[in-house]
Amino acid sequence: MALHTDTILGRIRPIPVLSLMLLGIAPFIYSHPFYLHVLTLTFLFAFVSGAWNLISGYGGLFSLAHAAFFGVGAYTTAILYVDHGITPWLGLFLGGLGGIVVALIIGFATFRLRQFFFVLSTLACSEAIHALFTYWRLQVPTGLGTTIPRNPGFMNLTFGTELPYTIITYVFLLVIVLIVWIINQTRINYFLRAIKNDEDAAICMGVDVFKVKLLIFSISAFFTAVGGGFYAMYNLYIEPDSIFSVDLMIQYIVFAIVGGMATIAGPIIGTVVLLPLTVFFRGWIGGLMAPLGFFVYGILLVIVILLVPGGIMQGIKSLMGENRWMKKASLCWM
Amino acid sequence: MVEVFLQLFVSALFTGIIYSLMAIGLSVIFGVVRVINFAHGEFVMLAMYLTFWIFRFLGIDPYLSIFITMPLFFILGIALHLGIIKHILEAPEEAQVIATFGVAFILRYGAALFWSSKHRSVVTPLTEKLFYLGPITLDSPHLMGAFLAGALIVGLFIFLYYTYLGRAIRAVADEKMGAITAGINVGRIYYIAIGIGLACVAVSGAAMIPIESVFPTLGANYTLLCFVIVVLGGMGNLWGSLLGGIIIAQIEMLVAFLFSPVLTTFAYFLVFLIIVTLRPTGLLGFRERRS
Repeated sequence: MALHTDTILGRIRPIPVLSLMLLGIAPFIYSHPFYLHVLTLTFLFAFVSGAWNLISGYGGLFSLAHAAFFGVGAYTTAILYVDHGITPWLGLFLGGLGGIVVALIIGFATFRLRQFFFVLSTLACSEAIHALFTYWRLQVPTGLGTTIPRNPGFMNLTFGTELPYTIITYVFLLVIVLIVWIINQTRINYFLRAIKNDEDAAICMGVDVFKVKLLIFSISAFFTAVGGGFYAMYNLYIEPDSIFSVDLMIQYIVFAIVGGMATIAGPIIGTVVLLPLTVFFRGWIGGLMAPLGFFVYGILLVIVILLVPGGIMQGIKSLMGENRWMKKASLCWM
Repeated sequence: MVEVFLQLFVSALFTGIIYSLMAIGLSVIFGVVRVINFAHGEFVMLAMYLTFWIFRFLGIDPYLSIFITMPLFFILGIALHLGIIKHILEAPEEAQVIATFGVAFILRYGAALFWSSKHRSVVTPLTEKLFYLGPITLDSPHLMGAFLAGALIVGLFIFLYYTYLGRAIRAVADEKMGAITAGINVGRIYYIAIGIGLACVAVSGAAMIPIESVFPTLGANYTLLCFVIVVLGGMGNLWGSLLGGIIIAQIEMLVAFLFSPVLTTFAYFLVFLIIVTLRPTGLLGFRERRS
C-alpha cells in the first residue's frame, strides 16, 4: 500500500480544502448555542456518513449494519463510563473495536457469497443486536434507559458549553476525510473500484477481494462506532430503541446518497444541505409531523437512484463538464 | 408440559403458513424479476391497514375483504413495476436495494403520517370463537388465517404448474434467455409476477390483522422475516419458502416461550448466519450461477 509520496502534495485540491476550512470557521461566526448545536450534529453526521460511504459508496456494499455499530459504540462508551468509571475517550476507542468485531462476524459469514446476502445480514444484524441489547437492559435494575451523569471535564468528554463538542466533531470529520483521502491514494482505491465494477474480474486479476472488503468494512465500522460513542456522551442518555433505530441510521445513509456516494465531499455536502433543513423543518412544523421528514427522505432516495445516481456531486460535475470555464475550475475540484 | 408444547406447535404451524404465503410473495418477485424488494414487509403492513380501514368504514369482514384488496394490490404491483422497478432492472444490486428501501420508507412514514403510530386491530364475532381439539385450543384467527393462506398457496401452485401463464412465469424464473427464445413476453411476465407477489401480500395481510395489531413500523420486522424464510428455503424456490415459513414460525415460538419474545429477531439472525455459513443455497435450493 505504498503512498505516492512524490506527488502527494500535488494531489491536494484547493477548493475542497478551503471549503473544509470554512466549515471549521463556522462555529466562531455562528456562535449562538442553537447554531452550534446544529453544527455539532452536522459534523457528527457528516463524519458517520463518511464512514458509511467508505463501505457502501467506495465498496459498493450497501450496509444497514451501521445502526448496530453505532449502538454498540454508544453502549460500550456509556456503560464503561457509568458503571466502571472508564474515561469516555478510551470508551470511544473500545467501542470502535466492538464495532469491528461485529463487522468481522458479518464479513466472514457473507463476503464470499452474493452481495444480496451481505445486505440482508446487515439488516438482520441491526435488528438482532437491537433485540439483544433490549433484552440485556431489561434485566438490569436501572431499566431500559441509561442516563449518563453530567460532570463537565475534558476527561469525562462532557462540557458545560456547546463549543467544545462542535470542535471535537469537526476534528472527527477531518479525521474521516483524511482517512478516506489516504485510502484513495493507495492501491486499495483501485482494488475497490475493480471489485465494485466486476468482482469476478477483480479476483482474476489477483485482488484479494475478501481481505479488501473486510478491511474497508472494519474501518467503516470502527468510525461509525466512535460516532455512536460520541453521540451517547453528547446526549447523556441512551436507550436501545433510539440508539439502534433505523431512523437514526437512515439519516446519514440518505445524506451520503443525496450528496453523492463514492466521493469525499458527497456525504459532507449531503449533510450540510439536508441536516439543518431537517432541524429547522422540525422546529417549524413541530414534533407531530416528524414522520414527514423521513417520508421525504424516502422520496429523495427513490428520485436520486432513478434520476441522478451520483447525487449532488454528479450534478456539480456534469455542470462543470458542460461549461468550458467550469471545466478549467474543476481541475482544482476533486 | 407435553400439551403446552403441542399447543405451541399447532399455533406456530398456523402462523407459519401465513408467513409462508408472505415469503412466497417475495420469492415470486425475486425469482422472476431478480429484484431484491426491501419494501416487502411494508406492503404487508399496508395490506393490514387497508384491511383494517375496509373493516372500519365498510364493515366488511377481513376474510372477505381480500376480494377487494387482492385486485388492488395486483394493480399496485404493476404500478410499482412501471414506476420504479422497471427502471432499475439493469442497475447494480446496491441501487436496487436503495430504491426499494426508499419505497419502504415512503410507505412506513406515510403510514405514520396519515394513520399515527397507534396500534390497530380487527375484532369481529368470528375472531373471538375458540375451538377445542382434545387438549389443544384453536382460536379462529389462527385457524381462518392459515386456511385462507393455505388455500391461496394451493391455488398459486396449481396456477404455476398447470396453466400456460403459470408455466411461462416459471420458465422466466428458471432461464430467462430460453424463455425469450421460446417467445414469452418477458416484460409482461415481470409485471404479472410482481402483481402476484403483492396479491399474496394482500391475503397474508388480511390473514394477519386479526392475529396481530398493525402499526407503521411493523413492516420492517416482516421484511426481515420474509427474507430469512426465503434464504432458509432457498432463494426463488417456492417449496422452500413454504417449508421455511413453517420452520421459522416454530423457532420464533420456541424462542419466545423459552427465553423472551424480545429475542425473536436475534433468533432470525442466528438462523440466517447458520444457513449462510453452512448451506448458502438454502434447504431446498440449488447452487446458483453468478450473474
